[in-house]
Amino acid sequence: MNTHTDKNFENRLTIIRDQLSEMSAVVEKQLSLATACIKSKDSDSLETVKKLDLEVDDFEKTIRDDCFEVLTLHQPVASDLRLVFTALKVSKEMERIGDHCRGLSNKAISTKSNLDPEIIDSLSSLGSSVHALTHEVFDSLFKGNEEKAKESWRRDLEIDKLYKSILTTLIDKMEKDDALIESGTQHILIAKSLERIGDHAANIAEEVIFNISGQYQDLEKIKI
Amino acid sequence: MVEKNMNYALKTNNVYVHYGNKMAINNVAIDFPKNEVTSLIGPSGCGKSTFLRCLNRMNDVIDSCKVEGSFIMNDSIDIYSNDMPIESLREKIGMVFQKPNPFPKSIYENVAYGPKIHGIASSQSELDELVKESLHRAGLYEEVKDRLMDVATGLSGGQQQRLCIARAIAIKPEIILMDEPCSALDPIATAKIEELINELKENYTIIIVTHSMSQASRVSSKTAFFHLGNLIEQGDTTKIFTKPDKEQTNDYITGRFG
Repeated sequence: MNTHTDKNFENRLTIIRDQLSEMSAVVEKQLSLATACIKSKDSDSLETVKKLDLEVDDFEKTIRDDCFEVLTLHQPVASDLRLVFTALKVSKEMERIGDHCRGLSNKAISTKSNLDPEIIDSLSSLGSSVHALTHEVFDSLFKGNEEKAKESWRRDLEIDKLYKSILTTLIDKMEKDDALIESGTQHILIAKSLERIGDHAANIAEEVIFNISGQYQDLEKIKI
Repeated sequence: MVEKNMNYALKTNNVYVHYGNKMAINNVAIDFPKNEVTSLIGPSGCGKSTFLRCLNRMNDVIDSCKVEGSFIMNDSIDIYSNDMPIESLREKIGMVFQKPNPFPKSIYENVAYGPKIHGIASSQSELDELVKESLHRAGLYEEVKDRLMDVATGLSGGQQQRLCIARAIAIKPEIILMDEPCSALDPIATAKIEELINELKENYTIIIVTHSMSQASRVSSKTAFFHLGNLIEQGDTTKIFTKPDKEQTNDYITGRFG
């Protein structure tokens, strides 16, 4: 694709792209620290996740304002309009991922676990899968890879299954042993946060597909 | 642009236009759906105005200009047929130009002129009614009703252009061609013309050449993009302005050309 004859417009779009890229790096860092907290219970990590969340919130506001200005001053169309539209929606999804990272690391630190180590391992494994999925989705966004975005979207279905299996196991254990109810409930909430991050990543994958193809596709109807 | 169950006011195919040895239009085919607005866009010199002028045989008067191809109105009338008198064609296909060009006559006479020479009105009262109706449809009547005998050149640019539209619709055409009709107008007058185009499509098929991308996206349901005499892409305006198929179209409408 050629560059714009209007350099100011070109620069503004480049800034939006760059900010989105920087925001994704911060969100990945948050996610990495937050998922590590499930096992490590490292309170320093929690503080870092909180600090990073403020950065993520700022990115979201800056991207929103920049997109609004570009829409107002340059009336983008076609690929430019799709970029601005995608940036607006993706930054919102990223901001929500940041919130979940803060929430889940907070719970991981504050909850004393009396659960089996296997359960914690499963949760940690769910965290790793969600992190890997989010990384893939961001990669598809910045490389403009529609097929990779579709694959990532499908991987979220696997994450949903993993979450349900952890949920079933935890409920089963809590039913059998009242002493596990408090810790079990907290860990269900951690698992739920991870599952929601997967959903936000899948939403971003949908936006990536829209950005490339120009239409929202009903991915549930597309054969795996 | 060919869709099932769609009525077309005009179908063109294999259109070539040469000015002497220079090719201005290279094998263009566009079908214009009835009662819809089609925009022709592209950079200067791309052939969009040349193509528009073919549609009511305005290029006939240019000696060096040679037009080839098929131009069929309502699936039956060949507008380049020897049996088609140019006056009858212009009755069916009206035109509005870039700069408003009212005759140096009264507002009334400007609108009445066409119906008079085409014998459309059979009595003075019928002509009066036709002038009134045309001015009304062009959204100008309320502004000029008390000064119909004033000279038309005294109107503002936007009013003059709406007068030209009233003049074009007074002869009851089926198709109205517009060649950058708002390029000489301010934003308010432009908005009025665009609103008018939206109303006029109820009764007419409109084909508009415009340099304004935003105007094309606002007023038309179909858009055709020309470059260097070639038709690069045509389709639904929403599609062209959100996800065009061709990179060249995307580059042009997003301002990446050249």
